[in-house]
Amino acid sequence: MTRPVRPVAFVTGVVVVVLALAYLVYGGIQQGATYWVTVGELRHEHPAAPPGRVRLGGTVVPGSVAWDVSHQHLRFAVTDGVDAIPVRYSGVVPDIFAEGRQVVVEGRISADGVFAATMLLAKCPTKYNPADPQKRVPG
Amino acid sequence: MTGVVMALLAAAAAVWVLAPLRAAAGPAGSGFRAGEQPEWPRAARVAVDDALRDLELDHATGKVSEDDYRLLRARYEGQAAEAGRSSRGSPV
Amino acid sequence: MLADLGRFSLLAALVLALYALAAAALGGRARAYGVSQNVLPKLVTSAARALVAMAALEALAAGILIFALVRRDYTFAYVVAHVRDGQALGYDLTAFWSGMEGSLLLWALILSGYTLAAVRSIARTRPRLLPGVVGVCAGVATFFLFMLTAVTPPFVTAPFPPPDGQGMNPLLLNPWMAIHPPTLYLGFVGLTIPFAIVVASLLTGGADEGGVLLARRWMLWAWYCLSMGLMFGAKWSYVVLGWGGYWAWDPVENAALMPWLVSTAFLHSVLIQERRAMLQQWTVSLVVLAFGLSIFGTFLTRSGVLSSVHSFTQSPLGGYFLGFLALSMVAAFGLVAWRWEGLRSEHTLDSALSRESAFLLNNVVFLAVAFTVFLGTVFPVLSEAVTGRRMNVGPPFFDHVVTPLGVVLLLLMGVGPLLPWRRASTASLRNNFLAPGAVGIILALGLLAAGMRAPGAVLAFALSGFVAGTVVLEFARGVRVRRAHGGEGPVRALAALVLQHRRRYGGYIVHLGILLLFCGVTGSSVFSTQRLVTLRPGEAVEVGEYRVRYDGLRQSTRSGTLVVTAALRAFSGGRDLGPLDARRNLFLTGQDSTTDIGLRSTLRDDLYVTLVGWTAGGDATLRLLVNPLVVWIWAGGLVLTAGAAIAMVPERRPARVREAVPAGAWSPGGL
Repeated sequence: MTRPVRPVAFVTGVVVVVLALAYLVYGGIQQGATYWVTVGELRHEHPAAPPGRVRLGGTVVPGSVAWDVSHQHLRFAVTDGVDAIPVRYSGVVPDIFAEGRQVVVEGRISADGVFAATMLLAKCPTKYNPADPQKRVPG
Repeated sequence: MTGVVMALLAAAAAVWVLAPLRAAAGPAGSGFRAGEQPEWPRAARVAVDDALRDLELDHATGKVSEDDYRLLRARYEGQAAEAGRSSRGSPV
Repeated sequence: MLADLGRFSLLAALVLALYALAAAALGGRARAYGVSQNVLPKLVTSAARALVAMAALEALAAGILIFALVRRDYTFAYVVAHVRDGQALGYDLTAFWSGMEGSLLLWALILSGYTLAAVRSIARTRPRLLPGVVGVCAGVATFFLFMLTAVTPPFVTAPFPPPDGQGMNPLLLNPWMAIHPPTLYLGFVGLTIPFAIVVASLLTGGADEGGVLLARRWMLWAWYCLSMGLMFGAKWSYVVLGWGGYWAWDPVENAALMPWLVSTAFLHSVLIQERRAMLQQWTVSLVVLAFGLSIFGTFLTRSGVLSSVHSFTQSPLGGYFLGFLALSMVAAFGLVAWRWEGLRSEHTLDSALSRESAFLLNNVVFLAVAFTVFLGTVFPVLSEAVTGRRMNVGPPFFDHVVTPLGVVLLLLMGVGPLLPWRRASTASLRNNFLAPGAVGIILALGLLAAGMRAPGAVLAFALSGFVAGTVVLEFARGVRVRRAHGGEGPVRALAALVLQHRRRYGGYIVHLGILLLFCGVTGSSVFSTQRLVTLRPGEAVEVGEYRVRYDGLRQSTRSGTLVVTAALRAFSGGRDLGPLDARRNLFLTGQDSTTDIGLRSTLRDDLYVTLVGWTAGGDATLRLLVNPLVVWIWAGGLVLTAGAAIAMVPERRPARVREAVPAGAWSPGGL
């Protein structure tokens, strides 16, 4: 009759797996986590806003869009209904980006008060979409 | 007009759904014999046959040790016999 | 008038579902107390009939909605939201499931279809489980019908119809997005039946294996549908969204991935349970978890709570879903806990190096991946609850954690099937792994010699070679055994082998499909090249081994859309590869636009071009990508389909057992 695996060995195995997973997850969060901020927070708490890369959500202010297609420079302003903040972005612009639409930008607020975005996501205006086709452009 | 359709649908559904409750106890559709498990033996037999075939292949390709093979084979054949017994009559 | 009928149908269906739930519960309990054995089948029969009537009424409601969609009846708010004059008829039909209300109705309808099939099957094979299965299915149907009558009714009408509808989002007007939701739903909803079977088994407390062996076939089908749904979604993302990728770790993508991962784990652990009567408690829990994740996944894709820029409480829908999820999980896991000792397996793990331990490790890793995906998906909500600040994790997080876990799974895929049961000896290890291991090493050396330097990619490809070697070895061994017994030719032996052991060899073919997928993902993730350029007509750009020449812009109008086409021509090493078009479609009705990519696919790589913008002078800004091995991903999906199809063909009936219904056996009678 074969000797069954002792509980100690089994528990050790589980602990090893859990630790390895925790290590990976921790590293992943370090690499990939960004804070969400609002336009108001960036405007008013400018020095105290979370450092580093943040995510900002809001609506594109009508009339604020300036797009240099050949150099892929986009400038626009994003608002939360109360405050607005200027954004500059270099990269591919999603199809559904337009004035008055909701966007999410990821990047840093720069010294001149303009938000330098490295990623731009636009949200579809309809309330619900089965696959939520946000055009994802990791910039 | 719509109301009539709705009433008809509701009535038809109610009649059909509640019909079994008013049926007298009879052979068709009534009979758990007390204590008997009318498990369908065919599915069990098929499963055992499948397991036996798999075991043979595992043994032939060296994934089961001789002892285990004998043990498992005896177990499956016992199960097969049991499944054969529980159906009416003996397997031909 | 029709709207009234539709509303009535759903309300009546809800009433029937509640009745079925009550009747099944009552019928089940009467049995437990041994009271009045005649009452049980009558109540359960009545409950089953209620489910049939409910299905008919749901079908009627669905028919009314489809009728309204096809006729473009703009008195229906739902039709206005998803249909437009000038939209192709096919998409008017698919509008049925492109909106929230319609998709919930589709969910309920598919559930009814599955329920009826399950009831018929279980009444024949395991009638003892019938009250439980009917009850659980009725309970889930009750929830969805409640949502459809009280929270998100599809038959909201306005007295004065607008002249035209808004139409569907143009990104959805695509064949892949047309079949993606129903396929995914067949998978999501399909997980309800194994859940019902397992719960029924736990309720009746029988000495059987927790119902998982019966549930296995249903799980396999649901798993297959989820696989296809995921592939269609990835294909749509690649071809339509135009960002050059096929998977973005989006919450709605993750929503479908999580139940898929847990189902895959189940398909492996159930094998251990079948052959060695082990891991029963674990396998039962997996079925419950998979169902919970399917409800959670439906919740994620419906409420948009995590991809929304606004806060959590945007719609009341989320609350109801979470409530139902909590209730069902607490009840189901409570049942599992109650029956915990009864589920304990007779056998335990014998050795750390055995097929059982490999499968167990496989399960643990799958669950680890699922947990990671879950954590990353709910991170915004979690972080806000814990730290007060909302945080996001993006694709880097998922890639960082899932990639090494994926590599481990790849290794296990090769090692597991070849390990012996219970305990592996050094001799068996040598026999089994020497040849495939050599294949892997040779492949690695070959790739390194050819100049590949990315260590992760070399490892992934080498492991793929190893796994392919193990699969080939398994086939070869099996053929050899058959020929030794029957003396057939190799081809006939192979066919007979696969047919006689469908689950095993179908599974191996699925593994081959996964291998192709893995290689495709590795190739396109690691070795993709990109260029972003603005070109004047006549200019060309080099990307990868291709040269792409821009020949100018064309413009045309087509059914309310302005189509701007960049005419391109691709060359490789001087050879003319033919024309390529990259288009933007500008919808004149709104601000929407979509992209038609220029795509040239070969086995080796994809040349992928997006028209990003243009100037009045005719210059075009293009984004060009060369993505290696993407076709392998779609090919992998096809191979997976073939393998799954083979595995799903039911076993032949043994000729010897008599098939006549034993006298007195219970049947639904009159269903």
